[in-house]
Amino acid sequence: MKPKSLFYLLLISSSIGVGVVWILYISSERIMQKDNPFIRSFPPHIVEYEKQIDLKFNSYYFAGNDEGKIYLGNNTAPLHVLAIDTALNNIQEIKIQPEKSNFRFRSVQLRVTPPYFYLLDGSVPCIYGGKITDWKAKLKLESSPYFTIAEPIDSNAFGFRSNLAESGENVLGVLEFGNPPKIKLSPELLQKQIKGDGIFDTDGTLIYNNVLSQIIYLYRYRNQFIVADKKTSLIYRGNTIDTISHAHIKFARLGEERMMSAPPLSVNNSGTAYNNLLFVNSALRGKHDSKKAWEMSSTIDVYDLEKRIYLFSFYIAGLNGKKMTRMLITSQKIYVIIDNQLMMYKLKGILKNALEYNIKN
Amino acid sequence: MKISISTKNSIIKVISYLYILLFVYASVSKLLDYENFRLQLGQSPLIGAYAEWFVWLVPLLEIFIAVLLLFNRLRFWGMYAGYILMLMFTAYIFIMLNYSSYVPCSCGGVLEKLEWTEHLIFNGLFVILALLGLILMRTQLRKWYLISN
Repeated sequence: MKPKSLFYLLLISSSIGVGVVWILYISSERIMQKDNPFIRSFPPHIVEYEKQIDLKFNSYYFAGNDEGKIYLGNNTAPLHVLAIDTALNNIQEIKIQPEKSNFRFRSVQLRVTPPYFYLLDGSVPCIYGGKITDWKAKLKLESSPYFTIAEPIDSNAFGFRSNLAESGENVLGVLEFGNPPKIKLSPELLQKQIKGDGIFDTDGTLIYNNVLSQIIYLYRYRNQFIVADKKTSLIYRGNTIDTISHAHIKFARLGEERMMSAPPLSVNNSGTAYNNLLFVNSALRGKHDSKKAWEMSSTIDVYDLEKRIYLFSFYIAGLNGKKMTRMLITSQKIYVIIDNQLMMYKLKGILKNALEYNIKN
Repeated sequence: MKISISTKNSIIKVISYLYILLFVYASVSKLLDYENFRLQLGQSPLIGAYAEWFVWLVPLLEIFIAVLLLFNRLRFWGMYAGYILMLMFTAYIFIMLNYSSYVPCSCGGVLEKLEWTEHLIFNGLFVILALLGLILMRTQLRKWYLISN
């Protein structure tokens, strides 16, 4: 072989070789972000465990937060609130003072959006509200519609999920306080997949993102979430990265009652939004995910709500065989509740960058 | 500078054996720790979407090249393929370090302990070795052609 021909052979094949790697990189990145075939990426060191405190009871949930404090509500003692500083040093116990003593709650949820707090019980139904300066609760609405879940949108409105009177199917809506209150239902948002259902197959988590002013509904049994503005006009329907596009649910009718006749396949356990990011606690193991890590921890998938892409995932380790149930995200930290422990993780690396990116813009 | 043919041949042999050693070791350790290798490839920001192919393709290619390098007649093409593969590995690490959104924890075997930049240098050295081998073999190849024609 002549020196020249070897030189050309090497030059051409080298550039092809490097070119192929480059093309792989570009196309792999595109596949992972847009039409992800359920492959998670776990960048190292994007959350770092910092601290935990004992809450003594396992019935606490996140009710809200502000700059300096996080507020926890309690499922078994609805008027009992914990205010904890964001560094988890001081726990302050608060007792909500109702204006009347004949409070009758069935399944009440506390929401704190400083300076206000709300007690929401859609099965009574009633909405109480007040200011966190004195924690005195007043009845906000004389006649509220029934609802199954609700999240405060701003100081005078709520996003909620209710059931349509005729079919019993789930429906999303907004309620604006006033006399009389303004109620808007948007039956086109939730889409039922199973004939005769519309309750189980549309179950999910209602989230309000106050930075982007978006109502987000994360389906529990399919790989979808709905993003709407605060008037419940649809912005887009996004997909989580797993492949369960159709709810796997079997249900049976027992007279008027509907019951699940087989254990359903959960896709998304819960979710929360902060700034431009959506955090989904997924119930499914990805194609290449370690089985051990999946069994011992919760997998959190992060989506960019503005770019409409999947970003990456991270694990939150379980504790004594229990996994996290609730999660709260701030600009610096992730707080999770596992059993009776409140744990704090620091946001780092590209996760922090992904959040900060949007704050600047 | 004139190098005697026997020195040339020994250099070529040494480079070939180094490559055989590296490729056999790397492929066997990948296949033995198949599960782990698959997980790690799946985590790769560069080829994550293609992990299922590469988990087989890469070790098989490495073994194939090692076999080519064993035979005098095929050595040139073995070295040539080894050079391309090593160059692609190097490009892979380079792209990952400079362009990708994050860098995963490193790969299998002895190299596990190597940091990515050291890994890059290690691979780069092998690319240079293969280039050297190919240049030395060029004259040999010509001779073979002359003999066989």
